[in-house]
Amino acid sequence: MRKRLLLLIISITLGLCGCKLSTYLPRRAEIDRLEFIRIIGIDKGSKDSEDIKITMLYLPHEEESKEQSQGNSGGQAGQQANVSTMVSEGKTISEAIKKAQMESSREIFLGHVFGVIIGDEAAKEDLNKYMDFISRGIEFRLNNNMYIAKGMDAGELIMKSSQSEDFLSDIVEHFSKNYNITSTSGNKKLIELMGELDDKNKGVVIPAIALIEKKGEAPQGEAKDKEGKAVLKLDGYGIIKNGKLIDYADEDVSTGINILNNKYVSGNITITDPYGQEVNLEVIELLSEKTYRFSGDNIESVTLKIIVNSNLDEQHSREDIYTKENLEYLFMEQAEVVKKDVYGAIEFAKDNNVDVLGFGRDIFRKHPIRWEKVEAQWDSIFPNLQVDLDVKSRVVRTYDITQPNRMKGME
Amino acid sequence: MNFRKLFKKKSKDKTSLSTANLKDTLGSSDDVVFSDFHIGVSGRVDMTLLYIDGMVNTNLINDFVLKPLLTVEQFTKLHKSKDVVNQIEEGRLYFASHKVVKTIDDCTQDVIMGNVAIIFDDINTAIIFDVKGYDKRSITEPSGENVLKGAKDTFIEVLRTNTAQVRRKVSTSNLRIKQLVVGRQTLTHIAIVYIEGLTNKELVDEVINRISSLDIDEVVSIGFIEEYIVDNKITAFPLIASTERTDKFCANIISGRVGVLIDGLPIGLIIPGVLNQFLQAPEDYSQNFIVSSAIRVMRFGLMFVTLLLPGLYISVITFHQEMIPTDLALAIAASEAGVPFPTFVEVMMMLIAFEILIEAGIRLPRTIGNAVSILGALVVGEAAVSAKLVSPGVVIIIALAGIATFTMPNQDLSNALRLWRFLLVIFSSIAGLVGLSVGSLLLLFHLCTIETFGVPYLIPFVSHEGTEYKDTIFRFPLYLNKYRPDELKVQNKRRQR
Repeated sequence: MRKRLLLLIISITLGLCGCKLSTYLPRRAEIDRLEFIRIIGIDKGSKDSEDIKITMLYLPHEEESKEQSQGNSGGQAGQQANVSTMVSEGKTISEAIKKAQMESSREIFLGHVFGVIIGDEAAKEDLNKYMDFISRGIEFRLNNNMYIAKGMDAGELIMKSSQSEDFLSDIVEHFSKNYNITSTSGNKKLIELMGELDDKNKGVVIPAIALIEKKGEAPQGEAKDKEGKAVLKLDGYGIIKNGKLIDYADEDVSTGINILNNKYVSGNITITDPYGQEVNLEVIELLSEKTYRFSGDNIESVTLKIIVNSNLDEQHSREDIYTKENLEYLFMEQAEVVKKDVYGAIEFAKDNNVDVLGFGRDIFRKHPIRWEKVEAQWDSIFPNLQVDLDVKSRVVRTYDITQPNRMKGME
Repeated sequence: MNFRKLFKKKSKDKTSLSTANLKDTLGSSDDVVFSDFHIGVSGRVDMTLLYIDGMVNTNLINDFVLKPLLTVEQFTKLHKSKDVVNQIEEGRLYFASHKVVKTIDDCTQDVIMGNVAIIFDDINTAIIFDVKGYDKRSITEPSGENVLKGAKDTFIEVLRTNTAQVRRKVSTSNLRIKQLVVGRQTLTHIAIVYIEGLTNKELVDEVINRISSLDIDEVVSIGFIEEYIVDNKITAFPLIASTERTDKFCANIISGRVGVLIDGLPIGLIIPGVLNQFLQAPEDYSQNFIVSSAIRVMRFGLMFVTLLLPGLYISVITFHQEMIPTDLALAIAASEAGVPFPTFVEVMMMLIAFEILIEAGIRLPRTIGNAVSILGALVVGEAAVSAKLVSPGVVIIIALAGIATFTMPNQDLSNALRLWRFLLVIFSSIAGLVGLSVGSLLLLFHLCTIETFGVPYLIPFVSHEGTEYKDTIFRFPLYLNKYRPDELKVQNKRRQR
């Protein structure tokens, strides 16, 4: 009896691993024989548009890295001492990877992929086509970061950025952790994207990465780099509708989208004080709440209540703006900036008829029975939906000083 | 062990108590001393002194037995052996520990145990005087169970000294010490120690039955008792706790367990032994309960480290590389580069090397043992890494698992864990985490099947009545620990008010 029980336990355990009888045992590979792919770029094929081109960026092993740094980099793709790429094409992603495998001395391992970048053309064609392998593959981590290469092929972006001194995967990692410093874009995990793509009424946004040629002064908010160098930038969102890329949202629109989806974490709002000088407000809280008004089963309007609280962290004038009148002015100015971003996002969404603002999903959660009635017509309802906006704005603190330096001296 | 069985083949006249028969029984051993002498001025009462040289205190014989018998008038004027025996029985010799025996078996047994016998052939009687005087080791500090805040005395090889130590610590009049003789050749005295009215009587009877039914040649180590009396013989895990510390032994007796002391062995056995017990150290009760609890938690964790870490390393490095952070994966890959063996072989090599070092350290004298440790750990380890025979990662993992092994309070448990570690490494090398899980399930299954003297081995983790967790992973304050362990079915469950 005990032996039977034991056999049963072992059989169940092995059976639950999801393998066929012949492949019960997991794949075995020594760690030093693996090629750790960090970034995968997916594009349409360069010769045949039906093909798929993949560009894989990996960290070379220590000894290879030493060889490369000594000027012995060989093969098709050695770029820098600390970075290498592989390029391959095939009818499917799987085929392309297998072809790349044949050219590699190590086993390609996708378990450490950190970011997947979909090329502009490929995303416009059909995102779902490329998502299947990524979603299904057992090696891929479900917390992979998904990006779209803005206006260019992912492979081109990877190859050009590989010429930078910074390793692309480090930059992407930086994006994934610090996207919320300005809240002008976002971060999208594979598992989130898989869920969102299944939701037919929800517009999907994917962070866009742009490659900018730096030839002079760096634009505001970007780190300066050497002249003539290509610099990567997290640049708003790519907007996906019905599984295809339809447009890009710029930073202001993306900020509005983040506000309405309650994904605005931190950022700066720059306004002018009553004396015409710049004041910088550091947002510490920005929350939105949607309420819906129905007439019978028909939705009439959406009211957005937004609360924005910030701290004054910089002012250029020498005046005391921490008075009741001046503060009310600052509250109003701050609210206007927020309204502008939100209205911009609403207008963008309506123009593209893509519900990236989360209205449909929110109605489904709050009014599931009514949602059943409006769901079928949502595409026609959404562009004409009346949206009312109410922003409550406050400046909460001024940090260590309330009055600017030298103000008292001037008095 | 029925001592009479040894002599059942002798004819009736051969079993009568006489010097000649005793000479036949004890043979011509040079250390057996027969000495004839006579009492009285005319030497009318014949006697024979019998003892084993080296086992008696001859001063005691001379001053307190022979001298009074040969010089005190009370004895010298006697004419019959019977009168001499009567006088001694009435206490005229001023020797506290004496008894009269009438059979050759009793006489022989007492003489072998280090007593002296005065034999009166004409009335087939002997008087036994307790004059044991063999050399014994003094009580020393524990060598294998070190303690900072606690009693330093340990058991020694003399049973009576050990029982006396227990008596000193457990002074209740209810303490019972039942003595049995086991071993056809060694005739080893074994003491069963328990507290009357507290310890489960069925448990006591069971222990006595199992030990008294042993029919073996010798008892020269605890395995001769332990292996014969445990329920589940096919297991590496200890089912009976053993200790050289008297305080630990006594604490267990007071908890309601049965103790066994074996003459000639400086170790006490505690019955039954369950897993939780082997993870408790006596010092846990000397320290602050919060500190003890933290150490206990760490100890339980380290048990899993000992058991699972090498297998987990193989699983992750060979099968599930996606589980570790990329930077760590690259660092390990770099360290593995150039090593010609698969990770499994590396781990096995290092585990075996570790076992060799332990064995060498135990067998060699202490001073050389330390040198072996240094040589093995530092020189050979460093050289193996430099020569790319093993990777630094493997050395670190095996060192961690090895050090974790040494934190186990019980050496027998530590040995079992080390053995199972090998099995889990093999399972891991076949199927990664699936294999490790299967191996761990097998281990759990095995542990669940073990019972020791009617007590489940995993108690209180497998069945309990709620109060037992107070002395498991966490050590609750002693004032909250009001009851004795449920599984022992003690007669008096309450430990304190």
